Amino acid sequence: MFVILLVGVQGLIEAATGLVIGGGVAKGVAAALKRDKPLPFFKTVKAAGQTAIEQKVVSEPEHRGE
Amino acid sequence: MEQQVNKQVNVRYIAELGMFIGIILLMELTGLNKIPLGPGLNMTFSMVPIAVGAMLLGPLAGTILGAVYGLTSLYNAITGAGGMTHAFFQLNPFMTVLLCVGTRTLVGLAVGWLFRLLRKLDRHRIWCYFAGGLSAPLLNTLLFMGFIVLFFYRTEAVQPSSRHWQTR
Repeated sequence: MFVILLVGVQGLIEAATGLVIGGGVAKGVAAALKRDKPLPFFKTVKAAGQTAIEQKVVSEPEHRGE
Repeated sequence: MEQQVNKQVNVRYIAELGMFIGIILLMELTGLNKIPLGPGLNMTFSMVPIAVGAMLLGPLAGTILGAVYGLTSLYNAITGAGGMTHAFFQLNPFMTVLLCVGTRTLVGLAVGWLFRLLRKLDRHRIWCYFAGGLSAPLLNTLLFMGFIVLFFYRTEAVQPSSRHWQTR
């Protein structure tokens, strides 16, 4: 019984790995190679970073160290 | 000019395909793709580079990547590193080649085509990637175990464990 449970857990973890890592990596690489749009989450992070730069909460990378 | 652009695309495709093949071989030969769960049970991540390659480069690349993974699996079956497939290889080498290489090649091809189909259905192009990633391990299990049940179920390599579970 324990072995069957272990095989089931193995299958579930493999499927979850494929779903999260496989899907995430494929989407990320496609976005990085400009073949597709990035996930909306990354757009939000980028927009938040841009707002922070505009409000001078953080300085732009090229102005750091001046 | 157009010929030069095509050549550049072709070189890029070959380079990307080579990188995925390298990742598969590295993971397989160093054992990075396995996490041991218990006696004789391993959780493998081998389908991840095949799924990613099939989604990014298309069904042909998926087929090639699946075949490469299948060949490493066949190598394990011949050398004795793959426990169950080694027993199958001693019983029927031709069917074991089909089991190791054929099913994995088919998985790569199927993931590539499935992703192309799903990409047309997904307007925002988000969930199709995750569905493609999920389909690879599911199809691998379905085809690999299905092949074993169809062609090796009545063999001595499978029956003792089957009898063991029936008597319980």
